[in-house]
Amino acid sequence: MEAVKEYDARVDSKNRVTLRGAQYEYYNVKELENGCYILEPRELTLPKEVSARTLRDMDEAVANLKAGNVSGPIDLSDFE
Amino acid sequence: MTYEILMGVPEMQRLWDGLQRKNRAGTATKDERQLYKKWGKAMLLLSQDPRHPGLRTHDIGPLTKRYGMRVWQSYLENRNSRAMRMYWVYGPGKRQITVIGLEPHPEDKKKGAYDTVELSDLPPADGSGEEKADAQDDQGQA
Repeated sequence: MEAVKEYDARVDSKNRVTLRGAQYEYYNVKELENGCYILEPRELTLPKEVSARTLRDMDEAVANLKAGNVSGPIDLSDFE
Repeated sequence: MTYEILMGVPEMQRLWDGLQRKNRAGTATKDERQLYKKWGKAMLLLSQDPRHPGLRTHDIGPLTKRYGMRVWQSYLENRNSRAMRMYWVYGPGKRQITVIGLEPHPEDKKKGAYDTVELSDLPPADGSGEEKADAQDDQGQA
Protein backbone atom coordinates (compact mmCIF):
# COMPACT_ATOMS: atom_id res chain seq x y z
CA MET A 1 0.00 0.00 0.00
CA GLU A 2 1.42 3.37 -1.00
CA ALA A 3 1.77 6.23 1.50
CA VAL A 4 -0.43 9.27 0.78
CA LYS A 5 1.43 11.41 3.29
CA GLU A 6 4.85 11.23 4.94
CA TYR A 7 6.38 13.48 7.56
CA ASP A 8 8.60 13.43 10.62
CA ALA A 9 6.98 14.00 13.98
CA ARG A 10 8.45 14.74 17.37
CA VAL A 11 7.13 13.33 20.62
CA ASP A 12 6.07 16.15 22.96
CA SER A 13 6.78 16.49 26.68
CA LYS A 14 3.86 14.16 27.43
CA ASN A 15 5.04 11.49 24.97
CA ARG A 16 2.34 12.37 22.43
CA VAL A 17 2.62 12.51 18.67
CA THR A 18 0.21 14.52 16.56
CA LEU A 19 -1.40 12.87 13.52
CA ARG A 20 -1.87 15.55 10.89
CA GLY A 21 -5.37 15.53 9.38
CA ALA A 22 -6.41 12.21 10.96
CA GLN A 23 -9.37 10.76 9.10
CA TYR A 24 -10.76 8.80 12.03
CA GLU A 25 -11.35 9.61 15.65
CA TYR A 26 -10.37 6.25 17.16
CA TYR A 27 -7.47 3.97 16.44
CA ASN A 28 -6.20 0.61 17.64
CA VAL A 29 -2.50 0.97 18.48
CA LYS A 30 0.07 -1.82 18.35
CA GLU A 31 3.57 -1.18 19.59
CA LEU A 32 6.20 -3.45 18.06
CA GLU A 33 9.49 -4.64 19.53
CA ASN A 34 11.49 -2.62 17.01
CA GLY A 35 9.91 0.65 18.15
CA CYS A 36 7.44 0.88 15.26
CA TYR A 37 3.77 1.57 15.89
CA ILE A 38 0.84 0.35 13.79
CA LEU A 39 -2.37 2.41 13.96
CA GLU A 40 -5.60 0.96 12.57
CA PRO A 41 -8.80 3.04 12.43
CA ARG A 42 -11.80 1.87 14.40
CA GLU A 43 -15.31 2.66 13.16
CA LEU A 44 -18.58 3.02 15.09
CA THR A 45 -20.40 -0.28 15.33
CA LEU A 46 -24.14 -0.76 15.13
CA PRO A 47 -25.68 -0.52 18.60
CA LYS A 48 -26.81 -3.78 20.14
CA GLU A 49 -29.32 -2.15 22.41
CA VAL A 50 -31.76 0.70 22.59
CA SER A 51 -33.26 2.44 25.61
CA ALA A 52 -36.57 1.15 26.91
CA ARG A 53 -38.02 4.62 26.46
CA THR A 54 -36.94 4.88 22.82
CA LEU A 55 -38.41 1.44 22.14
CA ARG A 56 -41.69 2.50 23.74
CA ASP A 57 -41.73 5.69 21.65
CA MET A 58 -41.10 3.69 18.49
CA ASP A 59 -43.78 1.12 19.34
CA GLU A 60 -46.30 3.92 19.69
CA ALA A 61 -45.10 5.81 16.62
CA VAL A 62 -45.28 2.75 14.39
CA ALA A 63 -48.71 1.74 15.70
CA ASN A 64 -49.97 5.26 14.98
CA LEU A 65 -48.25 5.33 11.58
CA LYS A 66 -49.99 2.11 10.58
CA ALA A 67 -53.28 3.70 11.67
CA GLY A 68 -52.55 6.70 9.43
CA ASN A 69 -51.63 9.03 12.28
CA VAL A 70 -48.40 11.00 11.73
CA SER A 71 -47.40 14.64 11.82
CA GLY A 72 -47.44 16.80 8.73
CA PRO A 73 -44.15 17.51 6.92
CA ILE A 74 -41.82 19.45 9.20
CA ASP A 75 -40.22 22.78 8.38
CA LEU A 76 -36.44 22.53 7.97
CA SER A 77 -35.92 26.01 6.53
CA ASP A 78 -33.78 27.02 9.54
CA PHE A 79 -31.07 24.68 8.23
CA GLU A 80 -30.93 25.56 4.54
CA MET B 1 -35.05 13.12 -5.20
CA THR B 2 -36.19 14.83 -1.99
CA TYR B 3 -38.30 13.45 0.79
CA GLU B 4 -40.72 15.12 3.16
CA ILE B 5 -39.79 14.43 6.78
CA LEU B 6 -42.65 13.61 9.14
CA MET B 7 -42.59 12.94 12.85
CA GLY B 8 -43.92 9.90 14.66
CA VAL B 9 -46.80 10.58 16.98
CA PRO B 10 -46.83 11.47 19.79
CA GLU B 11 -43.30 11.65 21.17
CA MET B 12 -41.13 12.62 18.18
CA GLN B 13 -43.64 15.28 17.16
CA ARG B 14 -43.78 16.63 20.72
CA LEU B 15 -40.01 16.70 20.99
CA TRP B 16 -39.38 18.35 17.62
CA ASP B 17 -42.18 20.92 17.90
CA GLY B 18 -40.95 21.92 21.36
CA LEU B 19 -37.35 22.28 20.20
CA GLN B 20 -38.32 24.34 17.17
CA ARG B 21 -40.66 26.58 19.10
CA LYS B 22 -38.07 27.32 21.80
CA ASN B 23 -35.24 27.89 19.34
CA ARG B 24 -37.26 30.28 17.22
CA ALA B 25 -38.46 32.13 20.32
CA GLY B 26 -34.92 32.37 21.68
CA THR B 27 -35.84 30.54 24.88
CA ALA B 28 -33.97 27.28 24.23
CA THR B 29 -31.27 26.07 26.63
CA LYS B 30 -27.77 25.41 25.32
CA ASP B 31 -28.47 21.66 25.07
CA GLU B 32 -31.73 22.33 23.23
CA ARG B 33 -29.98 24.65 20.78
CA GLN B 34 -27.31 22.04 20.08
CA LEU B 35 -29.82 19.23 19.62
CA TYR B 36 -32.04 21.34 17.36
CA LYS B 37 -29.07 22.20 15.14
CA LYS B 38 -27.68 18.64 14.94
CA TRP B 39 -31.05 17.00 14.45
CA GLY B 40 -32.28 19.60 11.97
CA LYS B 41 -29.14 19.37 9.84
CA ALA B 42 -29.26 15.58 9.88
CA MET B 43 -32.90 15.58 8.82
CA LEU B 44 -32.20 18.07 6.04
CA LEU B 45 -29.53 15.68 4.74
CA LEU B 46 -31.95 12.80 5.14
CA SER B 47 -34.57 14.62 3.10
CA GLN B 48 -32.06 15.25 0.32
CA ASP B 49 -30.29 11.90 0.32
CA PRO B 50 -30.97 9.09 2.84
CA ARG B 51 -27.77 7.45 1.52
CA HIS B 52 -25.56 10.44 2.30
CA PRO B 53 -22.32 9.04 3.80
CA GLY B 54 -22.44 11.54 6.64
CA LEU B 55 -25.59 9.86 7.97
CA ARG B 56 -24.09 6.35 8.09
CA THR B 57 -27.53 4.95 7.46
CA HIS B 58 -28.05 1.27 8.22
CA ASP B 59 -31.12 -0.87 8.46
CA ILE B 60 -31.73 -2.43 11.87
CA GLY B 61 -32.82 -6.05 11.44
CA PRO B 62 -34.33 -6.67 14.87
CA LEU B 63 -36.50 -3.53 14.62
CA THR B 64 -37.49 -4.41 11.06
CA LYS B 65 -38.69 -7.81 12.28
CA ARG B 66 -40.47 -6.30 15.26
CA TYR B 67 -42.53 -3.83 13.22
CA GLY B 68 -42.90 -5.68 9.95
CA MET B 69 -41.49 -2.71 8.07
CA ARG B 70 -37.89 -1.83 7.31
CA VAL B 71 -36.46 0.40 10.03
CA TRP B 72 -33.37 2.52 9.38
CA GLN B 73 -30.93 4.24 11.68
CA SER B 74 -28.96 7.39 10.88
CA TYR B 75 -26.45 9.29 12.97
CA LEU B 76 -26.90 12.92 13.93
CA GLU B 77 -23.16 13.58 13.90
CA ASN B 78 -19.85 12.10 12.84
CA ARG B 79 -16.61 11.27 14.60
CA ASN B 80 -18.31 10.73 17.92
CA SER B 81 -18.68 7.30 19.42
CA ARG B 82 -21.58 8.55 21.55
CA ALA B 83 -23.41 10.24 18.67
CA MET B 84 -27.18 10.44 18.85
CA ARG B 85 -29.09 8.34 16.35
CA MET B 86 -32.53 8.60 14.82
CA TYR B 87 -34.69 5.71 13.69
CA TRP B 88 -36.93 6.15 10.69
CA VAL B 89 -39.06 4.38 8.12
CA TYR B 90 -40.13 5.20 4.58
CA GLY B 91 -43.73 6.35 4.26
CA PRO B 92 -46.60 6.65 4.87
CA GLY B 93 -46.75 8.21 1.40
CA LYS B 94 -44.31 8.24 -1.47
CA ARG B 95 -41.31 10.53 -1.01
CA GLN B 96 -42.01 10.63 2.73
CA ILE B 97 -39.90 9.54 5.68
CA THR B 98 -41.23 9.28 9.23
CA VAL B 99 -38.85 9.63 12.17
CA ILE B 100 -40.01 7.22 14.85
CA GLY B 101 -37.30 7.41 17.51
CA LEU B 102 -34.27 9.25 18.85
CA GLU B 103 -31.54 7.54 20.88
CA PRO B 104 -30.72 8.44 23.50
CA HIS B 105 -33.83 10.44 24.28
CA PRO B 106 -32.72 13.87 25.57
CA GLU B 107 -34.57 13.27 28.83
CA ASP B 108 -32.73 9.97 29.32
CA LYS B 109 -29.43 11.76 28.69
CA LYS B 110 -30.18 14.19 31.48
CA LYS B 111 -30.78 11.36 33.92
CA GLY B 112 -27.47 9.74 32.98
CA ALA B 113 -28.54 6.11 33.32
CA TYR B 114 -31.57 4.39 31.85
CA ASP B 115 -32.97 0.95 31.16
CA THR B 116 -31.89 -0.58 27.87
CA VAL B 117 -33.25 -3.41 25.77
CA GLU B 118 -31.12 -5.81 23.74
CA LEU B 119 -32.11 -5.48 20.10
CA SER B 120 -31.50 -9.17 19.48
CA ASP B 121 -34.12 -10.08 22.13
CA LEU B 122 -36.99 -8.13 20.61
CA PRO B 123 -40.18 -10.01 19.78
CA PRO B 124 -42.44 -8.77 16.98
CA ALA B 125 -44.68 -5.92 18.14
CA ASP B 126 -47.75 -7.37 16.45
CA GLY B 127 -46.77 -10.82 15.31
CA SER B 128 -45.71 -9.69 11.83
CA GLY B 129 -42.36 -10.72 10.45
CA GLU B 130 -39.69 -9.79 7.96
CA GLU B 131 -41.70 -11.09 4.98
CA LYS B 132 -44.03 -8.11 5.32
CA ALA B 133 -41.06 -5.73 5.60
CA ASP B 134 -39.76 -6.73 2.15
CA ALA B 135 -43.19 -6.27 0.60
CA GLN B 136 -43.71 -2.84 2.18
CA ASP B 137 -40.30 -1.46 1.37
CA ASP B 138 -41.30 -0.21 -2.06
CA GLN B 139 -40.53 3.42 -1.41
CA GLY B 140 -36.84 3.04 -2.08
CA GLN B 141 -33.94 1.78 -0.06
CA ALA B 142 -30.99 3.53 1.50
